[in-house]
Amino acid sequence: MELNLNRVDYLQVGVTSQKTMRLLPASGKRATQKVVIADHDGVIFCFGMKRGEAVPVFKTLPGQKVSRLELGGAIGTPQEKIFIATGSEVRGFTKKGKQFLSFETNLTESIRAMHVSGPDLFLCASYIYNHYCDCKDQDYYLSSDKINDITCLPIEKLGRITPILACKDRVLRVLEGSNLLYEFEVSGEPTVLALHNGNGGNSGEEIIYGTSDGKLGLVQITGNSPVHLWEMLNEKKRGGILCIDYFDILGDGVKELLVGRDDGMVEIYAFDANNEPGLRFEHALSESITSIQGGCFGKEGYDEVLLGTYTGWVTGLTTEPIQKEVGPGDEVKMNQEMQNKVLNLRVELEQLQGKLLQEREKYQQSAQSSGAVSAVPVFSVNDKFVLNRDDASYSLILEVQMAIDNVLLQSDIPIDLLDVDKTSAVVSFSGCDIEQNGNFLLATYRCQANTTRLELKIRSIEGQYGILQAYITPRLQPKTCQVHQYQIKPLSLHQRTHSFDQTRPVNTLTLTGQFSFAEVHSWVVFCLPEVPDKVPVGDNATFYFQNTFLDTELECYYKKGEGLFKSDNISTISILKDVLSKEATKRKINLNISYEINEESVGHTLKLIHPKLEFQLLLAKKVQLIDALKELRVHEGNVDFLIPEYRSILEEADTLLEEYKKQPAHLERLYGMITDLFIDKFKFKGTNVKTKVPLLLEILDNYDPNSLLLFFDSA
Amino acid sequence: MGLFDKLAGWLGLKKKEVHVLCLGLDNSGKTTIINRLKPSNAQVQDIVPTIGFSIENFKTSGLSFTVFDMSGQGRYRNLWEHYFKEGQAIIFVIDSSDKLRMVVAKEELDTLLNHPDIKHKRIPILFFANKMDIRDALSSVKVSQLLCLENIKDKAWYICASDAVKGEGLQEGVDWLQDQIKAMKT
Repeated sequence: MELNLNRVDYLQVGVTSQKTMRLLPASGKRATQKVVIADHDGVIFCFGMKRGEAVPVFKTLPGQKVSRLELGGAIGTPQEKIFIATGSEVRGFTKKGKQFLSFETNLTESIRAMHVSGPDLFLCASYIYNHYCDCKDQDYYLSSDKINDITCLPIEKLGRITPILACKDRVLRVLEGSNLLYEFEVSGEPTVLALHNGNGGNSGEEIIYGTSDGKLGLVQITGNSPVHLWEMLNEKKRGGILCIDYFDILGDGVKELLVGRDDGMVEIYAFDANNEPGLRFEHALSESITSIQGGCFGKEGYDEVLLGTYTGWVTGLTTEPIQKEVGPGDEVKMNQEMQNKVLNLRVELEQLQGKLLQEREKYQQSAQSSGAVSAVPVFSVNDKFVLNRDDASYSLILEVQMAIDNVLLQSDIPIDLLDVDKTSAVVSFSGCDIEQNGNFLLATYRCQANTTRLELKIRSIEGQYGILQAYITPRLQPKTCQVHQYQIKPLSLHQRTHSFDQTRPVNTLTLTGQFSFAEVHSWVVFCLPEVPDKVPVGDNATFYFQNTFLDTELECYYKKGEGLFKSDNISTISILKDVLSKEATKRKINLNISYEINEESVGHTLKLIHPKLEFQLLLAKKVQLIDALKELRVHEGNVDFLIPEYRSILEEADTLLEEYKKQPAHLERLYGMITDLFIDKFKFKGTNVKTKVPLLLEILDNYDPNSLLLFFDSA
Repeated sequence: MGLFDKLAGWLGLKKKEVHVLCLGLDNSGKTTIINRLKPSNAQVQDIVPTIGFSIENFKTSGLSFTVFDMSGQGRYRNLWEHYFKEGQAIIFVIDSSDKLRMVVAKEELDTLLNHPDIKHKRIPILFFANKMDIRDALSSVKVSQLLCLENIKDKAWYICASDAVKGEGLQEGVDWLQDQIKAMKT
């Protein structure tokens, strides 16, 4: 059965965080539910719908930003107590809006995630997990990386408390009391956790996770190890997952999985007989979806999926048909509800315009006075700067509550801006003078009307490190601009993993000297992405990384006064050596650097590059021929006279061209990496081979793996 | 209409009688719709397929309707034409979740419209795209496209999505019908 859902926009509140909107359970005879939503101004707003009008139940006064909103209640009763987390405080409200709990947690940081179950309260700040029972401290755990979300297996079903933390380092940590029971890696950074089917599945031990790179997975958390049940990869390159819910929207008796993403996609997955999910419905909104829930809200008898967006829109996807009546005549008549809405908006707009005009005049006048200071309006920007694993590029996503007017990008290192299909903004590159002001990139994105979200793709080069700045100007009076800075790290293409292949030939870099553990940690943070800012617990630390472009690996082990870096890529080691010695010099620390080069590693790296290079060369060669072959086809009428190889090129012409377009400058990038490898290899030997680079490029143009290897060895 | 008649009409003392034909395929919800339009104490609980036809009455604010609730089963459909002469309005009910028989409904509608008793009479036709509560039901716009309602030029028509079990959408449709009949009379 196909699913048709119609979009209805209900109301707009302020900017909302992830998971801050819930539907209260239906009470009494009324079948429609009420919604409660909390925003960054600290206002909690609860309302229901009555004949297309929002009827408020209660609204609280503004306060601190609300980071989470959960429903709870005594076990066995309807879960209709509202709990919110603001700053380091948890507050509880009844469904009528009466505050019955105000609990100051004494956490130094603000709360990032919360889970409520009966009298148990699970809270997470950046790195800290705390469990309270009836507001009394029970358990405490310090995680080694930032916590994104928390959930707890159903206590009433299992009889034990098993909290699960979703951490930034791609790990789910299962706790028991104050201790780590076990941890396991998932394929992306988990951003949201939920109980499977809303109750943990049949066993009560199944949880579902969504990652920041758009993957979904189901895991059974048993007493001593996880069982992975299924995982859904993100083939369509959709955004990260921010919210998950289960609801039977199809009405077939099985709950469906509702997923909201940060690029505005809403997806509904149904489960087949094998409990495998299949996509049944998708809908695109233009802003990120922070909360999702299924229920009956707008009209009795019609289920719907209710969404909360970043800019605070409460939107429904309802099963109720919109257009109900038609008569003769070409124009489709607007129904009464719609006409009322238009009328109301028009009246409101007129009133606001009048008011605005007055205020503007007043402002202009007072702006003349010399003593007055003109205040800048504050707006929030939701940004994300992440490395994509599959194409070794960074995605910069900016989202503002108002429509964006323009975004200026400035970079002091060479980077490439790639095209993103979704982005409708017009880009213009300004010429920049590297000598004079050190700008390598100046680009302006002018956005079309009503764009609140902008996605950019950036390609960096390993070894070139610096800062990328974005100046964001929304359509707001008076026009103001906010600057956001993003670090591009020296080893920017490395992604953190949790395993290291010991069999590879490795080059080692050893650091010794008078430095503290915190200092060496700060250097590693400076060099590599995805390392927590906080100094790890214990007296040493080990991190593993993988190069997303070449699949070479890096192991970092360090403690007070010693650092050990192992990689199968000489370039990585060379970059580390340069950056680390520069950092140490800056802090006037005497470092002893020694390195050990494994001759085999060059061959190994070249072997890793070989398939990519061969693929790109072949692609380039084929693409070159397409035009000529097409012309031949036009002249001769058919292609029977061509050899099969050319015929297959013609058949695949479209896919080849698309592939070629998708990977611009890929070949140049590979050439650059090989050249770097070549120079670095000889640099460690103490020779400068920059003069031989043209010779190398010549060899690469007539690529043959053996002659390349020979050249590397001989030169 | 005289002033006294109008006054009586407003007070609900005297209501004009209208004969309406309720047509549509079997299982489209004709009897359920008529039942829903009756006052709540006169409504029956269970509805069985109509045999032949039945005569029902219901009142709106200004009119008193007498409805010939015809059976929609194939073998009774030729019965319809016997009542065309008396009909002053037609209610045509379509099961909007039954995509397969939409063509049959169109066929029946076309024969109805081309019948000599109907063809030149300017009587209003109200369509109910019924069963709109079902998940994969077609919208009223879609139904009107499939039935080619835009080709009806010489009669007033109106299509209304309805859910006869809950009674949704029925009032809007009957209100329109009443307005049309009143306009015709004057």
